[in-house]
Amino acid sequence: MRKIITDPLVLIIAVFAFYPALPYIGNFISLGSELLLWFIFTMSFNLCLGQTGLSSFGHGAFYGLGSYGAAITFLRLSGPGSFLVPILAGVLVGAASAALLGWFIKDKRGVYFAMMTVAFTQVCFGICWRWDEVTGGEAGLSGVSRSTFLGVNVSNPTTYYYVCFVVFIVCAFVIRAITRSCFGLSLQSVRQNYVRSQYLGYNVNLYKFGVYTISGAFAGMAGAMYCLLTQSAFADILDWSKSGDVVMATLLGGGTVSFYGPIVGSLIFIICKNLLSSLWDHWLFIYGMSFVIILCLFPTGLMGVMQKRKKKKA
Amino acid sequence: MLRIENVDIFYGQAQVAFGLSLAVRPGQFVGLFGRNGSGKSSVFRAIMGLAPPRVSGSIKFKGAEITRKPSFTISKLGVGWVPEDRKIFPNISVWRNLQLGEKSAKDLPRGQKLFGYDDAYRFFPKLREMRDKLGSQMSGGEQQMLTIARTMMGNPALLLLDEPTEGLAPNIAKDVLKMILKIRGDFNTTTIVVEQFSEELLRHLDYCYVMEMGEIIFSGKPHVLLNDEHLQRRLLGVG
Repeated sequence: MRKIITDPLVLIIAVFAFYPALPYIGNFISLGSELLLWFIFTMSFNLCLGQTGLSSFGHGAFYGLGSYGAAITFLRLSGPGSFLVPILAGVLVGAASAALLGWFIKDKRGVYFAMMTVAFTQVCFGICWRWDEVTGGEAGLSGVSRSTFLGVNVSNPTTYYYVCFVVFIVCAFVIRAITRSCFGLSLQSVRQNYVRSQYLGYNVNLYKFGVYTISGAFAGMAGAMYCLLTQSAFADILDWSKSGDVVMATLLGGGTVSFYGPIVGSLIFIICKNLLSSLWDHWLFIYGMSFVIILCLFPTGLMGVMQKRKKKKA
Repeated sequence: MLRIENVDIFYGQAQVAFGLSLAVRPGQFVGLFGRNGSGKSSVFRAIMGLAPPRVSGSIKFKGAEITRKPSFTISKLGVGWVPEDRKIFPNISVWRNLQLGEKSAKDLPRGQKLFGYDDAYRFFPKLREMRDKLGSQMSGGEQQMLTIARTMMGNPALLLLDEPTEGLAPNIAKDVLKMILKIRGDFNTTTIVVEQFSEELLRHLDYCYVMEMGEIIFSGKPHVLLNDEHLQRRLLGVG
């Protein structure tokens, strides 16, 4: 029982269970939903970076394609009233696109891997920006709506928040189970030294492909849920800067040393983005500077600092 | 069990081994000696399919050609490698390091798996004491014990030991060697060990080779080398 109470994930879940009731910030219910989706997105990214050491700097592609997958499915296939089908379509599109890219770059490493992912996201951005007939081009796709799911009215922002909350819980536990499984251990060994993993019998390229596809599925899920949150899909979220945001949030939080790093980083990033930006147009200056300062002083991010303090106390 | 025929090994344009041929029978304990830079470790890298080096010629394991096969395939076929310099996973705990070594044993038929956690802890009790510690928190000798135990967790049919006592304090080196001999005694694993020279080791070998400048310059029963100081001096610069 004590183990459950002291579990950081349970603590995060407990806080977000009462998010709508929190003073001031609780009024921004869509911000809460966006936070939860960003948690899923950054956790999915951290399966690549923190767990496997893959610099997937174009991860926004899977988030964006998941969003478009949901929007196109809703508008052209499943139609009004559908909810689960567009989300599943988003997951599938995220996973399929990650699998496609992953298959071609599974044997690449370091900067080559990173640049291929950035190039991929820019290609996807270009397609979505220009292909008016399918993606709506610059105007994007709007007209997606939320109605009911399992008899529950999800058009209400608070209800949708709790849908995002449940999805977040499921994704968080599944991703954590992956990181703690034998598969997760193998990924960790690939991150630490891929040559050693290879001569111990691990097909490193296959593991990289596998984790990339899984990660793409979760990113696609977050993107699809985001599409239903904003009831639209725009090419902006496929821009390389979106992928940069997820890298920054994950590193700032300390994703390379802790499972919870991406959550901490997302919390800071989204709150800065939404609250600071309403106060000052040049908020990115503060965010960028704090990113540089924190990572210069504490390369393992905020969770790294906390872990070091904990070790010192012990 | 292992047959190397007419193998040349290259690092880029530089050739480090010339027409090597050697054979190892099941259950044999074979030594590969030579001075620094003679190409001993490159032979192991060539067997394990690691790049570099580039290899030409034929390397057969249990009758199957393994030349230029990826190292994970070779490992799964039953070749376990303990590289020099104790290459553990530093940020993973001791028992998780051992768990990583099990991969090659997963394809073995039930009942054929012999070496497990109990054996790892029996041969190297230090590993049990340190099971939750990170690999980086271990001393050189402990890391070497972990590397050997981790490789044995894969239950290899052929064990390649690359200078297993290199850089260890004499008493630790003696302990490690003792454990290697004990493991061999208990499991009868076919083993090739690379060393610069070790009298203690020679006493236990079934056969030995000496390499110089990428060529095998001696092959024969170890007692020939052991009892001939002149030969030792000429071939290895010792004695």
